[in-house]
Amino acid sequence: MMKSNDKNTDKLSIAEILKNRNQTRADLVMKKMSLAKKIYESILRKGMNQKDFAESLKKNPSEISKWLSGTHNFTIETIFEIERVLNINLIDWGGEETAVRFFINFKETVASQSAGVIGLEKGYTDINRLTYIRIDSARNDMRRAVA
Amino acid sequence: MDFYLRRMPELSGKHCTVYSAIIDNVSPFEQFVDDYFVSYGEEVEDILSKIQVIGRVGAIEPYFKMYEGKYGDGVCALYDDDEQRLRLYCIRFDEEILILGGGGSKVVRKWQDDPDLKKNAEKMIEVSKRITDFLRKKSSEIHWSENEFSGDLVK
Repeated sequence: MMKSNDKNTDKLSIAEILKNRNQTRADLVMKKMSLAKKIYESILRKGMNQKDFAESLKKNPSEISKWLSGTHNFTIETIFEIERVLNINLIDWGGEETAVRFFINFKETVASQSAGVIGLEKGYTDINRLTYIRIDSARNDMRRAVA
Repeated sequence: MDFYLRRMPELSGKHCTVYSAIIDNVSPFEQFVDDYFVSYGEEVEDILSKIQVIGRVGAIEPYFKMYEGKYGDGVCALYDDDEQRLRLYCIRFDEEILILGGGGSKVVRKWQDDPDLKKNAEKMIEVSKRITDFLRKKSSEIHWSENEFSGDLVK
């Protein structure tokens, strides 16, 4: 059934509206809400509440409420800050960046373990703790290592 | 006021079962959709999409504006920001059950100042109170098992 601007036409059922809605828009709603849930659960896992989280980021609690509502359009800068404070990855930054971060950590793990047992598993776990500041130099190191 | 709850399979999901409150044989939620779909089509579609996501992932608190009724009665509104023109009232029982009520256009800041929002909010406060009483008394009208309600008042 087509949507109409005429109030007197047949009513659309909920199922019909769901079937005819803009699917791209519906997917965006789903992704925003899923991202919000991931952040919310990470806050709880950290033993924080929304007020603590707001203080960590020096934000107003009402701004955090909007972030967690599933309606907010996040900037990359905000996502970066959230990842940093919660020590999580919200986005798979992908390809080279992920490889670079793993390489940095791998290098540090090797350097820090005198027993000669390389803690690969620990390495993966620690990836989140790395900062991006070191990425450029590590990228160059990696390129030299694989050349 | 007579009411029962109608399960909405098209909106329910693995983590939350969604019901529409039918009050005196009228579904305020379907009335809300009928009333506002022509004027606010995209927003109504977004509201339905949000509820469908809630069905799939659970009715976590931040998806709602809590305490639209009295503290502890579970009456809340689906989160809406300043850009959104519509408000929808619901009753939330943990993350697992969501009961949809009616709503209206947000022309005022407080629901108490708008006759339509006031009527819809008050109806949901009453429905919530009655459900809570049934659950407390473990009566046959409504009982809660895992993420579903069942009983004489659930269709």
